[in-house]
Amino acid sequence: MHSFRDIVFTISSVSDVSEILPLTVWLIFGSKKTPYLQLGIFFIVCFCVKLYTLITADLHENNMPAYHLLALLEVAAVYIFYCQLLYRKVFKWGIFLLVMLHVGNALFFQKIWTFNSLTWTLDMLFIITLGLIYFYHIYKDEDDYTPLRSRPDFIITIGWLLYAAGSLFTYLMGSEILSGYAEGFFKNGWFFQTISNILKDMIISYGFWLTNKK
Amino acid sequence: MNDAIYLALGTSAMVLMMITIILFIYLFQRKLAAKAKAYLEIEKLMQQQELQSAYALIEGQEQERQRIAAELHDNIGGLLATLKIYSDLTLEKSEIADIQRLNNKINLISENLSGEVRKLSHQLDLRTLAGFGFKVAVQQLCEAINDSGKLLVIPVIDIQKPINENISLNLYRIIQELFTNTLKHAMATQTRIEITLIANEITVIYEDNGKGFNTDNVNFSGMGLKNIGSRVSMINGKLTVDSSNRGSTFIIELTNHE
Repeated sequence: MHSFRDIVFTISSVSDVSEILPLTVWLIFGSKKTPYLQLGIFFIVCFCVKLYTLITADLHENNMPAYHLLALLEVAAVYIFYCQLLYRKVFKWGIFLLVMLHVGNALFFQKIWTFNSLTWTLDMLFIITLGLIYFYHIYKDEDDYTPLRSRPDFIITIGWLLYAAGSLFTYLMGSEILSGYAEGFFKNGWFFQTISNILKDMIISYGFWLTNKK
Repeated sequence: MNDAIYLALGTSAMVLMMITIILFIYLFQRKLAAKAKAYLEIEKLMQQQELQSAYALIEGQEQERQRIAAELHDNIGGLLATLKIYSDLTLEKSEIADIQRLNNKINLISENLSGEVRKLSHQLDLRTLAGFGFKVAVQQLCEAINDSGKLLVIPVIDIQKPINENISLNLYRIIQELFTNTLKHAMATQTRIEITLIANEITVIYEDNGKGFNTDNVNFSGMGLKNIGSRVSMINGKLTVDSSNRGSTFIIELTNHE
């Protein structure tokens, strides 16, 4: 009988390749226009990086630099998506600050060969903030009364918010979880992250599918 | 950190986010419902206003019918009765002189009768113009022609303020004449009439898809064109006529109509 640890590892592996779902849906059905284009490209890159982490993990190589890169790519993609959605332009200083934060963390706080839990946590908080700003924006918009079910942006935001909320404490405790030996339920902290990541990819896939019907 | 606390935090973060999303959906739907309710109320008010206008129109039409009936009965009916008496007398008389005299009477009454009918018809047009304005009168005219099924009329009327009574009457007569021409001579299936009033400048553009006519030969002498020309001059307007085998276009321009 499989232990809970095995189940968590299996779900974690599924989570690592789950980006294929939004990626495929975007390639086949999704809109190739801004802001979905950038998000679709992000999923292509994200899938490649995660595939690399899976292979290197299997080879027992340290793949932490890939997570540093992934954290930056993810938060930048979400930032660009909401900037274009809300303001129709990307504020470059925002990208610059995000790069500085990630590079600074890798240089001074959590080195490139260790897990960057601090930046992941801040990224999740940032994504939650962006999602809530988007909620506020559509609530205050007196011109657009499109039902929520017909808004792909809203669906995609739900995906990002649930993912960020589910991942927040996993990332906050990321170093501890990774450094410890994963056994028993409480030691398998990635459970929340993996579940929320799969959930996010499923919801965003539906959002991408909706972009074609908009 | 204690694992149990971690589990509690992780779970509560996701639950809290779900609650936030559900709360947002609830608030947004409530906002949509409030907006829909407001729209419904506006629509209801508009329907009530439309009904009131329709009642007023029906009442007005009823009064008008009563007036026409009275006019027909008292005036034209009386003349017709007199005409009948003279006609009967003519049949009874054998003397040529008497018949001649009665025929003269019949002729005079027929003329009167014709005049009265014309006057009544003229008053009816004027009442529509005076009561509902030039725009409504033209719209009714277009509707009446459309209802006849002989011609498809596309009216585009953009008049936001009242037009001088004399000008509106003359323009109305011109439009009537244009329709009459199209119906009688042009063999058209469709006409388009565009009337605009922009900064005291009235423009009437009348187009049909009929067989057209030769503008060089006509010289405003036939087909009621003379009448149209004189009415346009009367209101100090400018008439431009263009015609080909694909249809005719009449443009009437009035600058500073006040």
